[in-house]
Amino acid sequence: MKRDVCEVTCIICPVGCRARVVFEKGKVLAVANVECPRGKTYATNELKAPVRDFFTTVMVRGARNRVLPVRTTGPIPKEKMMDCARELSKITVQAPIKLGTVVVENILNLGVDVIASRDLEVG
Amino acid sequence: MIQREVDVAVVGGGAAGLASAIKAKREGARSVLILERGEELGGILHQCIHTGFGLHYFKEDLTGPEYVSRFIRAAQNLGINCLLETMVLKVSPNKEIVAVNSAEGMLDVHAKAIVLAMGCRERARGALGIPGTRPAGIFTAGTAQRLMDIEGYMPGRKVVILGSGDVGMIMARRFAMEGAEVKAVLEVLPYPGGLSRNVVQCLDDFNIPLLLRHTVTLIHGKDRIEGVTIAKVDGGRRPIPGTERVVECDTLVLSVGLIPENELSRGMGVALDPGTGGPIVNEYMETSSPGVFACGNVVHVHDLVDHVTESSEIAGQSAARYALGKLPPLRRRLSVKPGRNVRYVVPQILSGEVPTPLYLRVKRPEHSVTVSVGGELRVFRRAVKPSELVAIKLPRGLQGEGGKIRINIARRSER
Repeated sequence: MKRDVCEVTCIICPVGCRARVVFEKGKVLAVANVECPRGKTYATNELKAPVRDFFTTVMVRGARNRVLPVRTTGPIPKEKMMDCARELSKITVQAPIKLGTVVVENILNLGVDVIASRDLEVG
Repeated sequence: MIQREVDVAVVGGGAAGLASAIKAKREGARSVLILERGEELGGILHQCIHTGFGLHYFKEDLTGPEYVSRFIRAAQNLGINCLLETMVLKVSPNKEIVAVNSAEGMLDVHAKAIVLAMGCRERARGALGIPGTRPAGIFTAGTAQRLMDIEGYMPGRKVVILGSGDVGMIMARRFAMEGAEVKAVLEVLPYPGGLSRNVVQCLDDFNIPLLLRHTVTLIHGKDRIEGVTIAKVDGGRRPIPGTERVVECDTLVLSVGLIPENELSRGMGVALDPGTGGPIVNEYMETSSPGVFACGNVVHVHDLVDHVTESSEIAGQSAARYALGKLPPLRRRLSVKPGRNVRYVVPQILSGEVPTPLYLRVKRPEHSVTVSVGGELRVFRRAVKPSELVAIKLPRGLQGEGGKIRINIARRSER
């Protein structure tokens, strides 16, 4: 049986562990060289189905700022990031906005909402 | 001239100023005033729309705006006074502040204690001396970030980024996500300047090349930048002849270092540390001028805001105690000295009598090391690198030797 080893840099925290992942036929057998359990989970997921936090801005009307920072309520599949960015480039919201306001519900059916990262008052 | 008297005056309303003002108020200071030059409280965090903030302090993964919003709300709820669009011109050792704004003109603030929290500034093209023309389209990373994330402008479409610090890599991703073509991120050093997580999620994820040991040697273009000549550099950071090539671009983003902003500190005669570029502070975060405290990026450039918050709370607490006449003088002054592979340490002065967070930055990357505190304390670290501040909790009871404590990074085998 052929076993493969690959290195994955953990991005969960700033330490940046270089996880060594041993896998066979797409199944993860062991994760070494990580300092915490989150690194183990990250490295395993990174090989199976990589996800990322997602954040960008959307246009806003009626505020002093022209854009509103937004984020998803959870990580999304890595390959969906550009699709989400494209989707959100079509959107304009109206001030006032409160932090946490849902801007897009269940974006692209990914199971996460896009929410405002800050308050924006009328100005 | 309008006059105000306050217990604690805070110069700067970013992450550091807010945390210190909140802590000062909670510690019992009757009146706390923040003087902020910008249009709103929160400083640079408003334009840092990515996650990664608050992992230590809140045990949550927040965006910059979310992180700082919590402090803005706390400050408002505590009734902390704040003057926006107000520029501090002068701070005196007798704790008098001269400031100016367009509503009141000149104003005079007498404080019992002062917290300096002016943050840092970006190094710009002039500090690098890159030859070539002077066209439009050359931005510092922070300026490009402000344009994109607050003002809603796209600075350009074909981008070269000089410097692989965190802000530079984060802007590479930001440009890529907005549909721009990021040609490359150049780094003069043999290793990336920022956190390794950012190399992965900002560059690798978007197939952006990171060219180590490379720099820009010439800028092309008349009205708008049209390209840059890049070249490999040798160990002395000198361009190697014959390695030059031209990269076409309409935008050059500079992420080449941050400098603590200490014009006011210098003006009032506070002692500065050439290693950090900021005021020398003791464990209270007090500068050489009694009753004047400092925190955040004005003291040294941080990579995590969580550390800024931690030390700013010490500054705010100390300032309130000083204003109320309750801050005991240091019974001993041990001088903390950077030793092997240590570029700087903060605080630079310790009594050794209270538990204190110690921050240090190394000169070069190393694996499997022990941070040794005067031989009295040893802490193992799997890896240290210049881009990642090392934070250690010092216990009480450190003795020092001859009034000094030396901090060394020792390789494990050398123990």
